[in-house]
Amino acid sequence: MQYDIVHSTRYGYGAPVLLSRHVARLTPRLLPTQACLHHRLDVSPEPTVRREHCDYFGNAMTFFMLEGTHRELEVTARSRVRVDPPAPPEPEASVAWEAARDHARLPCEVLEYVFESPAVRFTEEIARYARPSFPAGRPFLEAVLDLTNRIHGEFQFDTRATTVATPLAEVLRLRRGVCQDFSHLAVGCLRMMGLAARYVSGYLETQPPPGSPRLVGADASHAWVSAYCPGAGWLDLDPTNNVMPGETHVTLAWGRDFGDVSPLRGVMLGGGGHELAVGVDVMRVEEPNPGQ
Amino acid sequence: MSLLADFRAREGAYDEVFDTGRVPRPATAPLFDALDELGRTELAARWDSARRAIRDNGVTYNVYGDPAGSDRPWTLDMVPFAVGADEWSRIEAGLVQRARLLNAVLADLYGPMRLLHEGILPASLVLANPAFLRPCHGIDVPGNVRVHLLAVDLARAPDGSWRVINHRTQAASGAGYALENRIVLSRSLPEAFRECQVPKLSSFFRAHRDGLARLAPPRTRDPRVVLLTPGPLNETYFEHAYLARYLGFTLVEGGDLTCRDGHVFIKTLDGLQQVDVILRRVDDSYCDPLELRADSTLGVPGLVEATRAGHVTVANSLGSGLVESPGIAAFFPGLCRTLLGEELLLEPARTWWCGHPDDLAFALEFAGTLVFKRATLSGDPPVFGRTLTREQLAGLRAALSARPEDFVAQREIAHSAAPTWNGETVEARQIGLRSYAAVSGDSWVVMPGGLTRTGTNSNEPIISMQRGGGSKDTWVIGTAPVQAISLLPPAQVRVRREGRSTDLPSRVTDNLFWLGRHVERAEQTVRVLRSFAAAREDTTDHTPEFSALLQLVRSLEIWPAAAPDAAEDLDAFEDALAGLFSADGPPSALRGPLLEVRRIATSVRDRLSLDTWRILGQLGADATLGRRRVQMDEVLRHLDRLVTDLAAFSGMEMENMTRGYTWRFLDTGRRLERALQTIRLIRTALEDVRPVEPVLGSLLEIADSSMTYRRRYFAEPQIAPVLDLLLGEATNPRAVAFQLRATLDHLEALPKDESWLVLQEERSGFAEMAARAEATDFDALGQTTQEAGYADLFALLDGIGERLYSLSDALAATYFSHAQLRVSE
Repeated sequence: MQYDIVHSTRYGYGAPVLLSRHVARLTPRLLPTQACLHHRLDVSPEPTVRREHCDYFGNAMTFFMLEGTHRELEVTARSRVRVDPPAPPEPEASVAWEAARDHARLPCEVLEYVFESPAVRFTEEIARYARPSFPAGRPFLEAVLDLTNRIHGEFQFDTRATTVATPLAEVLRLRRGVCQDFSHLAVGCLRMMGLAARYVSGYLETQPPPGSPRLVGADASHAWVSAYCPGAGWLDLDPTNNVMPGETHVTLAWGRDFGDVSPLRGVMLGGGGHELAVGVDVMRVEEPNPGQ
Repeated sequence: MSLLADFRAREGAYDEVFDTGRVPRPATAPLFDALDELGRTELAARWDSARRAIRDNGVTYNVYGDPAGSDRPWTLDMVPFAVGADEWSRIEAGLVQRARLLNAVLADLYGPMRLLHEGILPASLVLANPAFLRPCHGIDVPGNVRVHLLAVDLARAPDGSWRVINHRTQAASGAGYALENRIVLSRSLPEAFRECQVPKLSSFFRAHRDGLARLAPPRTRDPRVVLLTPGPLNETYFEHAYLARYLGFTLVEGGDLTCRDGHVFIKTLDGLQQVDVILRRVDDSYCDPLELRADSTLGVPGLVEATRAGHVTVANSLGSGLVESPGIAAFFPGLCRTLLGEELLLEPARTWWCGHPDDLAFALEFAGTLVFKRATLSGDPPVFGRTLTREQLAGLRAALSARPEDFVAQREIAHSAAPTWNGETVEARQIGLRSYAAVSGDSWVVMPGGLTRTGTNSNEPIISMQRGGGSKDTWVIGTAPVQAISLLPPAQVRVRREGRSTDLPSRVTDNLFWLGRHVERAEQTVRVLRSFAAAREDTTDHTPEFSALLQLVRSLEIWPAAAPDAAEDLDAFEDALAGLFSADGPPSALRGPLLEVRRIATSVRDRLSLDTWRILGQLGADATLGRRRVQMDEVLRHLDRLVTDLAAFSGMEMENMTRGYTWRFLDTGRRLERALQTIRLIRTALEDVRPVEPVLGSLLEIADSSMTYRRRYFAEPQIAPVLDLLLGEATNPRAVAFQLRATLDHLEALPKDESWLVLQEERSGFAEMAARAEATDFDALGQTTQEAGYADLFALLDGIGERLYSLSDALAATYFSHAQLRVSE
């Protein structure tokens, strides 16, 4: 499946900004199951400096700087991405979940995702919430799906209940939040059970074909989790929509938590208060008939 | 009787002076022979003068969380700590090895991570460690050196071996204090210093400086090195300013630097100047709000990106704090074998990482005797099992069992004891030695000596300046002077001319300008008060002069509204005067400007000479009166001394400062303030004091122009000539016209860039005002009576005043502008 994605971010500043520097993570990752056919990142006003790097987690990152007074900043990422997800494995067929908590057998790259991270702090409440999904010997995928199913069922999607800075303990108490909160919670639960879990940022198809439901979070950037299962590798799970991401999910970046993949971070000189508008549009591209 | 007659180390601690048979150890003998020769009385006298030198030099240490803690005088003991040369060479070898080891560990962890992939180091110690800065992973550093200056805290165990307690790998402090200790003590004990052939410290600092210059990216043969400080509130700010001056680096705060296109620049009056090396005293994660801690206000946004681009060297490199983690240090003996193929020379206290089940079991069993530290870097102090209650121990065991990999357990090292001077004789105190190694070219240089710290009492388990400990100079006894051995030619220092003083950060110019203004404001207040107090002392009656002055000090808001306005009650009057000196309540009109002077001077202390600093210290002392009842003559004496102190400060400024921008901005502030104060003084007198004639003499006195007046007119002061002398007389350095001319000169000398053009309008307006002040016919003005009002004169004064204020604002806007940094996610 191919998509054209437009992700635009607009800042309006209350006072002139004299100078600003930003780090953007708005370039879709290249994966065995995902190709980025075309990508462009437009910044207005035109940056005086711009550099591309690959960050510690393997995400593409763009550093740019604006010199000269500006009152507005607009960053638009345009990407064409092809997604070819494999068929999800059978939940019952995976190994017992306990096999995945043997850290001595996990490669270093996977161990990166088993520890606490700045936005995912371990608390007894999180462990207590997680445990019912992990009875002894349960197949890995079955246990993990049960967890995301419970989060989906027991938490209410509410864009006003939390902010970027709301701690997990508060989300757990409120039983409300957005995809970022649910993903952090799932990541915290998995890690407290000793499993490796990473936070994935990405997109959902905005307007699915007639007959398919429109998924929650489709008009903004989305987040879900990925859990490591020995033998099967990383398996994606979307607690917000209670699905295993397939061809409707486009992966942008991953890290330990939101802080590692924040799409646009900046430090500016001046500026006063600011207004932020984010728009995401993910359109299905009809693939040309190979015969023509 | 020998100084050491009663000296005895506490049971179980190593005695630094005597061996078990109470025979003096060879290294200490020459030192104590020399001290005995001086005798107690002489030692006591020299101790007093050493302490005075420390106070006069303003050697201070800020203690966090203590309202009285800022600018606490540094405590230096009279008795140096003596180490034998043989023993020292072993310490030296151990330090160099440790520096190499730490660099090798960091090179691996910020590079290929072999140590983790091969399971040599448990992954959690790095990957779950907040000190591991992922944005810094994969960044190449010049010469592959990440720790340029290393500090190692050593303690001598009861068996006589030196053990490593701690090491500092990101922003090691204390080297500057060690240097200051040496300077003070070598002057206080010159005989003993010579006798013991103590190697000098200067070669170490030279090697450190050259080493930094050599690690600059290859751009220029004359690299610019800056010392990045968190600012005057940091505990060791004194040292930052001191080292910057000693090493010849520019002292900067984060706001003074800016990153452009992968390069770092210092913002100066002459525009942006590229920086090659940053010696930082800001902690790792605070160095860049863009990629590291977003809430940091101390860093430089984009610094990580600049190091990635390779155009700037940060020493120590960003992320180097990682190897300070006790959990990683627990693996050093093995890491040393793996990475260097050597046995670790300087061993830590025996350490167990509780992530190993066997070690955890051991730690749980002996929790009551061990020391516990967090495995990753944290601000938490170590926990001493033996100091815990039964409940606390149970809590500790529970925490250990819950997350064993978060802890290390260590054997406690009983620190050795050395003699410390208490004012009369010596007594035993625990000591710890902070030693330093610096990279210089291809080699490492160890400071011959170091900062010895003493405990507050014999039982305190942690030796720390924050906990009120003291310090000693460290003497390596019986060696020929140690030379830094270097195969490369020293970095060349080029002649630099002031006037192109391109390293002056804009923040500093701002501070200097305000320093000038507050010094002048303080002087004006002191002078007004002195005239007032003197008038009261002369008589107990209400003389016309006293009444006039009373009106004046009230209108100038120097005399508090609640203070007595009658001269009869001498006690109440003296109390009110003394109240102006009081540190209680909001700062008075007298103390306010003096406190400001102190605060601003502290933030630019690397720009002020030691002598200037001493004068400022004296100023602080003279602005303080004892709590007891004070007599009028004592207040007057203090006011006289304050006038002299301020005059001494001006003298230093006039005679000893090069005429660069530093001086220009300081003096511009002073001129501007003096003109404003004089205008206010005259206007207030003419408007509010009736009759005004009795106060004219005081006006001349306040403006230090009485002598000139008497010489010129041989008459009682009259309005017209007084106004002429204080306003229009361009040759009188106290007259307003003089200040305007001097300010104009300064403006002409500023760099002719865009900012200067913006000031064009200000400059022409200023010239016009100066001309008008000089051309005013004060005789004609003098014909007017006070009742008729001085409309023309006031219009002139107000016009000048407005110009002065608008110039001050314009300077702030063009040269000092500091917009606030904000972070968005």
